Amino acid sequence: MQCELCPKLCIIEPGQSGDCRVRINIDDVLTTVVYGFPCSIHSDPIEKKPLFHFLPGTNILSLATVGCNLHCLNCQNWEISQANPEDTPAAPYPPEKLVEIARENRFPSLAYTYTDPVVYYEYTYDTAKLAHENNIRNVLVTAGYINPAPWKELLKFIDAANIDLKGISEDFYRNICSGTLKPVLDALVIAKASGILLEVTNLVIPTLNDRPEQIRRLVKWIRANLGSDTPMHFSRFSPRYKMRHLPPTSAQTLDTAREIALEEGLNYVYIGNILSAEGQNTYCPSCKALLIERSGYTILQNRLSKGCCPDCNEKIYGVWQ
Amino acid sequence: MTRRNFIRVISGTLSTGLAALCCIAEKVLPRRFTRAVRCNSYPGPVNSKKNIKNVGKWSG
Repeated sequence: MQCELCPKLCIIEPGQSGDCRVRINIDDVLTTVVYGFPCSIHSDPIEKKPLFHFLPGTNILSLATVGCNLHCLNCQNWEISQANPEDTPAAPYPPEKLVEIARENRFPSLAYTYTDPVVYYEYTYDTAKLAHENNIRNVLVTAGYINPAPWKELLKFIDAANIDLKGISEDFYRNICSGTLKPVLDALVIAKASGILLEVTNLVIPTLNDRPEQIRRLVKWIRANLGSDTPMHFSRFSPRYKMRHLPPTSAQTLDTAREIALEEGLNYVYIGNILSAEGQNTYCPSCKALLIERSGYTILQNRLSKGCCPDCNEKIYGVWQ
Repeated sequence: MTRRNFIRVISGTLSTGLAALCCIAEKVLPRRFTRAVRCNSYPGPVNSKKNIKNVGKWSG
């Protein structure tokens, strides 16, 4: 049996799972064993995803099951993403229950995050569909390692996504993530074309993807294929999982990455996982006025007026209410 | 050209063309996607409901 959800196209023998650990061949039926059983469910500020241009200042009901179809050596959430469901406690939350909790607690949106919603595709899909029927919006935080057909199907019920573009070289994806680059680039283009609010994150890892020419190539691709309004987040790496020998990313490297992205014409460039004065704020691309001031996940001031700059009336890319 | 050679050339050309067409079709045609079926039970330990009010310790 072949699973056709992601580019790995795993051939799964009876009783075995795919590379993601959670899609199993049971009696020649492809079965998802984590459907309705998140291992993590929390109320997060939406800025933590990170999403800076989608309902700022709101909390989002965030959940994940175990499993991932990539195996990044630097994974920040490896305790759940690289875990087996047999070893990881989970609680029963069917889609109806999640939507009920979101309604009762007035969460405007749900996030499928922490591990990768691609591997719990059916759970994400059914919950997102039901959430939309109840006027609750859906957010994906994903590496975008998925085949086009299921991706397009899922995007019908998604309002915003932060897609992790881990690097811009095939070697990086093969050697560090056990994946490939092209499907991620295709997923980014498809997501943008679908009309959802799209933000992109790049985790900057010392010596692996932090050279200025690598950053420049990455932001050039984003500008050419996703547009200059696409918010870009450069995140600080912390030594985790199988990459504890590298130091955390320096503030200077992140500042340089931000400067390069701004030079290349991206309008909204942020720095994450580290406190930064300018790197967390949103500025008007036209008149450069400060629009949203942030400190960590907190909004200190939001000067936007109906999604526009109050000084020059420039429309700012985003979903603001 | 003998009849035997002619048939060999024709069958060789046809099989090469067919293989190329299959390769192109595999790349161009969208892959069908079959949903996985939901399992009735979770294979690991099942907890009672979680406290959803906390901010997650995980990245993302």
